[in-house]
Amino acid sequence: MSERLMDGIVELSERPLRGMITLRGDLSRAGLRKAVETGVPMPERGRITQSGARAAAWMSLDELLLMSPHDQVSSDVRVLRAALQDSHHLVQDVSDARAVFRLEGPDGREVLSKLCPVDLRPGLWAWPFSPHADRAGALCVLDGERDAD
Amino acid sequence: MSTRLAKGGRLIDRTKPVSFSFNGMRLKGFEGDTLASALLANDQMLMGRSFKYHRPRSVVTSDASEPNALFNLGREGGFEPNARGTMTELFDGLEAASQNHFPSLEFDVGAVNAKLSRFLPAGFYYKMFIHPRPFWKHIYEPFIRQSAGLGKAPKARDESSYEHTYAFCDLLIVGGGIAGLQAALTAGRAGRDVMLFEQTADWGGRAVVDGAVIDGKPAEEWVAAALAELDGLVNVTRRERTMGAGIYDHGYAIGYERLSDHAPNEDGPRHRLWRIRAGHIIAATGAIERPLSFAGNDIPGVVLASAARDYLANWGVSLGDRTVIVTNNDDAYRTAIALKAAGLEVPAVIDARTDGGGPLAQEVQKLGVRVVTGRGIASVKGGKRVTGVGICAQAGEGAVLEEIECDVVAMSGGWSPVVHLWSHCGGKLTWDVDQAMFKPDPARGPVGADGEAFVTTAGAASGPLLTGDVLADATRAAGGAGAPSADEPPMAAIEPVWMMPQGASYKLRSKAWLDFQNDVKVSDVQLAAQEGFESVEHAKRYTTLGMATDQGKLSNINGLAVLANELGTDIPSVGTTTFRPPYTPISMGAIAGEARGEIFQPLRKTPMHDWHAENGAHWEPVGHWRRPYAFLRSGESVEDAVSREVKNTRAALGLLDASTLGKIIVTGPDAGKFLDLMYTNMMSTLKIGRCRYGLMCSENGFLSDDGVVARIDEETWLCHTTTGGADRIHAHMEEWLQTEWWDLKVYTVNVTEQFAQVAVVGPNARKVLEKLGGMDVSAEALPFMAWADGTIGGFDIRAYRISFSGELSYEIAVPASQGRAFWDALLEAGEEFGVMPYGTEALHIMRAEKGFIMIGDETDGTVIPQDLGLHWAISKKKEDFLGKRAQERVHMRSEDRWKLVGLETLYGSVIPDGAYAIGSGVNANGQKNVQGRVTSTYHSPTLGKGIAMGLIHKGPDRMGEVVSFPKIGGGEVKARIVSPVFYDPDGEKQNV
Repeated sequence: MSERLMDGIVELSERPLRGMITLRGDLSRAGLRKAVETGVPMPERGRITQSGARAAAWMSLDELLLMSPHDQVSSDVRVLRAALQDSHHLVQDVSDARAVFRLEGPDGREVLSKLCPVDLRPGLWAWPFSPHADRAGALCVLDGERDAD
Repeated sequence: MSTRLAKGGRLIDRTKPVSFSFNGMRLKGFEGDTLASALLANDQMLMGRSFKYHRPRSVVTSDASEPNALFNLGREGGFEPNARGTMTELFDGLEAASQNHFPSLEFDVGAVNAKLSRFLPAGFYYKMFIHPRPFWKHIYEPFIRQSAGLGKAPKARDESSYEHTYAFCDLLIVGGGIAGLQAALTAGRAGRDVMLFEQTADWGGRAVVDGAVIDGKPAEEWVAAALAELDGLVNVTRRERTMGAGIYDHGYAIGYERLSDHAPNEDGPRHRLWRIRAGHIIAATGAIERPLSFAGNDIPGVVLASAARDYLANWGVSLGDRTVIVTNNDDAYRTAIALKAAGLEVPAVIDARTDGGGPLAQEVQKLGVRVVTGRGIASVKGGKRVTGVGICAQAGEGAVLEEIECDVVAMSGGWSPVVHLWSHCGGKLTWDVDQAMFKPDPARGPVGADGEAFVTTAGAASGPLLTGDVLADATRAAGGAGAPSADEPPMAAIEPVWMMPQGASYKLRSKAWLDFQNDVKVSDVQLAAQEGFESVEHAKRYTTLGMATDQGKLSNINGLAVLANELGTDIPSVGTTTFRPPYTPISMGAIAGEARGEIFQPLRKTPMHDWHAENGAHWEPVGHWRRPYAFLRSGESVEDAVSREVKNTRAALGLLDASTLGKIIVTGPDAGKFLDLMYTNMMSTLKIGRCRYGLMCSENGFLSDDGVVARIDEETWLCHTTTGGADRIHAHMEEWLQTEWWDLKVYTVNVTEQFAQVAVVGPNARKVLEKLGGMDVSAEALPFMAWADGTIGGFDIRAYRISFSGELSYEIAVPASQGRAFWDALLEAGEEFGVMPYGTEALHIMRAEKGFIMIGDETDGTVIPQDLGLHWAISKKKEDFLGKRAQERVHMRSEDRWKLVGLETLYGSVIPDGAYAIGSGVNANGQKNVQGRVTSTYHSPTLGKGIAMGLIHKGPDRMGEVVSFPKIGGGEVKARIVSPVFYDPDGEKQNV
């Protein structure tokens, strides 16, 4: 995929594909938590956790989005399915269904706030995460970094 | 005449002249002027004509409540109608034009309506235009439409840009007067995250104009200090020119920011719509002064007493040399003091109260102004300008005791708190007898999820009108203590005056305006009451009181008081009409935000989109996607290209980008049971590795979507949907799972975008796949309606042996990131087999040749599968499925339904799209009876003639009959009813 950079009040670039797995199941089950936590801590409601190149995003009461390097998705899917085989679950590779953008610049928050109904206030902007339908009608997951202020 | 005074005007900069035009005239103003103040400074008091009677009108107010001074602004792409002159900041080059005048503002023929006003009473349209019936459509309505409306509708595309922004805060404060500022200081100092909105460019509100003294300082100084402190607080954001437009449930509020209306050459959006989630909201929205209802109160020169002070203090504008003040309260005396201080004449203050006023009144008398008590205005003299007033006893019927010459009448009927934002989400009001006002009832606020009110009012919006009380209330509203002090004399009590004089004759009442913009008079509301429109909501609609663009800001309370009086009841038992957002009209552009033009909706592109674009794709919108309708080669027409693509696919090899088809994975121990409920046919019995075509119906039995379902493993199915159905059907499944069948153990996920999918179609389909190699795609290994995972040409793929064209066909899914590479590989390998991509039109034609239905063509929300001959896809064995019971209804089982057949034209021509088959005779409306309609119609390149499908009355029983389809513009096409399967009825070609 081509990487585009746009000149404006922020720098916007498309990032390479990231491995993403939709995991649905009973998030309170010990077996599921254990399977997730071999890679990354279990996220709280509305949050995202990270460990090295892996991350886990809370999507809904029974859904997580697990992120990893793109080339590890196939093996991750196999491992997860094996670990969860005794319980009702869904594990699906959705890496190619998503695009990843990087937004950089002091006005990044304002640009996002034009599109996403997400509380981006400083202080709350520490590993926030929210699955939201934005104004463009697309699902967006914000995997942010605390910025200077 | 109105004029600019030599001194004064706290908002204008006299060193910065600004030129603008009004009705083509070049005029001068100053930076800081509003359009209204600048027109008044130029003695242009006549600003427009009223809606119904075309009466000459000028400003009544100086603020957002203005009903009269509405203008067309700008031109072409910058044109805007119905702009309030009082809220329009002047800029160099502003072009304004008055509204609702013909042929000119000075001479208007529509003013004849005023002479006929006794023939145009309340409810006139309802009474007059109802008979005879046909006259309404052909005579009355066109005429009324022509005469209706104030501003012109814009004709050119709006050249400005707009945006939305989302914001979150602990506390949203609406209103930048002293109450809003004090609330913001209180909450800001306490560390709360505060947003503060002021609808004008000026902070401090009335206190500054009226010379309040706060903590021993003039209000202006206090306001400057407050702003400086707020700007030093990082947790406080303040926005000027931003109106709190509406409040909705759960602390949701809309702000309307006008960024560049005052400076149209600045970069950036014109308006911004703030979409805010606030933990709590304070409405510090102040109060609106009420007019008094006396005859001729709409004549230019009659203004609110507060507005006369505003024009003087803010813009250094005098409305006239001699101002008569008429009031029922002490506040209006401030106007006399201000006018005298500016060296202007105040011939008299007419105080309707027998006992007169308090300390302010005494101060006015000390200035040498004549104060008469127990008197009112019988009528105002003048046409396009006030020339004098006739004074009468307030208690009487309007006999004139004396006449006073004047050119301005400044009136005050008391103040009404701006309760709009409090009321938007259901905050209730209480009638304050002492102050003669509806004010918020704090015990009955708009409650949030926790059962507590999420809106509080502060300052005059709560009821208090004195500076000290306002500040104390604002402090309390923000949860603080210890308000600044204010020095202010007490005020004598207001005496409610709803009609002046109280016994005014019919003649006077029919000249006493309540709603200036919609031309509703005291007599109209009284007539409505007499005719039985006793509910305030009914009276409003019958008379149009409060239904104009100002939503009755000045007229509502006066109108319902008149109604109460006429009904012989009190004001609280009549109540108010409903307050709805927005507070004042907001622009359509702000509502749309960025969602216009190219980015109105996200455009979805398949992984092969760029290839299509580079290879002559003629695009067709399908859902949010763009799909190639056909690939045009140089010199080809669309029809040529479609014909070539069909023939080549049937003869050699075609490729279709089918990536847009919906793909939903359904998994879990109960997935089979769930799919048996969702689809009309049996999916639980499908064997692993096999595919089945399925139909989905709505609860009402109508066909909703179709597609091929594949059984992946013991617990998993993959459901294909139509392109437009992907998100809708996924949501439909989730809704049933989450709300009705929550006990079923099933998970779904929409993987439409995860895969690129290519249909490899035609007699050479197998050859090209075998050339690329990697898996066995023979008829034995992969028979018709089977699927298999494997590799082809090094790509990890899943191949479905399904056909929508009637040819040998494989649909091959690869991860989306590999889609383009796979497409390229197929094109390269297919070259020797005559490969050609084909578009959606060729797809449509080939499926029609095979008699396959298309959702959206053969279905329209009223068609059940049985109409389409799809009985075979409806399980008889299943206990239930969505739509089953509905399909048992008598009408659904009727023998008289229109049913699917093929239509073969007698002479090879094509039946027009959407044509109806005519029957015999005419219906009750004199129209020809119909007996069916065309649902799909094409020229078949394969068969060389017109083919069609259609729904025909008892169609399948009438094979061989000829029906006739009239063409638009005359003539008809005759077609024979045949089987819908025109091509390869035995399916020999797809099953090889």
